[in-house]
Amino acid sequence: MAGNANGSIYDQVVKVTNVYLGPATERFIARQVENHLQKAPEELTKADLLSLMDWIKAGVSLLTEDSGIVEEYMAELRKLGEPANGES
Amino acid sequence: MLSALKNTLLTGRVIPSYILLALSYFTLCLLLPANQATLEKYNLTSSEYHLLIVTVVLPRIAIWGLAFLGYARLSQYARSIGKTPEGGNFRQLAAGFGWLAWSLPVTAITTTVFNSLGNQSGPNHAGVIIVNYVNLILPLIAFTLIGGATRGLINRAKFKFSANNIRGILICFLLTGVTYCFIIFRHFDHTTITSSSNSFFMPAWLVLLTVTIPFIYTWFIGILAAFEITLFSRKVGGVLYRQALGNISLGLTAVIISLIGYQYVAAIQTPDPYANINFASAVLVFFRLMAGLGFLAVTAGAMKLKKIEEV
Repeated sequence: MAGNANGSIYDQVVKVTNVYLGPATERFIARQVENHLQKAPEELTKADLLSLMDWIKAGVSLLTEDSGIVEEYMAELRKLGEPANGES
Repeated sequence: MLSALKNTLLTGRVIPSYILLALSYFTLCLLLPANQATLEKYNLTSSEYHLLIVTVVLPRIAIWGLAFLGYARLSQYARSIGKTPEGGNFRQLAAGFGWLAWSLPVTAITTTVFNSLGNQSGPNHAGVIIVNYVNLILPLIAFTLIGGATRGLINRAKFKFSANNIRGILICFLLTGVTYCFIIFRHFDHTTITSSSNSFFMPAWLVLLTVTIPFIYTWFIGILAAFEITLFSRKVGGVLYRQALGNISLGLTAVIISLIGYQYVAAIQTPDPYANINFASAVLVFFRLMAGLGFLAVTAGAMKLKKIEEV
């Protein structure tokens, strides 16, 4: 399982997504990972993040016409892929 | 696939029920004899009377359609989230909404049939009493279920009312209850509590215990549910989830307020032997339209929530 001091990448994606989808978050992320990446949510790694973001963006764009919300959400997810301080 | 099939079956059961009830009501309104007192008062022929009735019945049937659609969509959403923590609450909410939807045609058909019997054979005391209880019992069940669901949602999320919220609820409750009692009991014979010479055709003590108090209780449950769903929709996490739930909250609040308002105005009207066109009937039309818009908002909200579960 991918993990670091701040929790697994899956947990971090869920935490960011919770701001936008509330109680529907875990179901939404699990669906994207299982249906599009063909893996279990706990097997998600940083390497999957870009691909997952594409699917999430496509899904969320169907839920709102407010591109500001979608872009803000993507920016938050993008930060998860950036190397943390001290990480090479 | 299986869930899509279940959803289709659910909508499939709800919509034919609506069509059957709507057709029954429309047919009854056209076939039942015209109210003689109304014909004489407005100098109408029987055909003109029935034509006027159609203009009232069609919008009413359209509003039922919106209610049944809202019920079907809300049920579909509740099923789509299955056994999740909030799934049970949404199933209960949908069930309460279903009772509300069913209460509209059932009360209208019951009222039409008993009014017609009264037109033919003089004052129909039993009919008035039955209609009053039908008007009470179905919304009581609906609001109890809806209230249980909204309470479950805010308890699960550990949301609490602020002091201002509680004051607001109390003021709404007191205003509704006290003015209702004042207006109702003004028309009663105060020399004895056993006299049935009033618009309910029952002794005052029986009206108080089995009509007035249960009505006020039902409204209180409804007002509380409206506050609870509003609180939940404002405080729950998720911008997009909140937007969708906001439609359900707004719609449900509009439906609850309109139903309470409708029952309130209908209950305080002194029954006339003829259909009256006055300020009260205009207010009743306003509440019906408000309910229609509320049902529409619930439908839109349920569809948005369901879409979140599909993408």
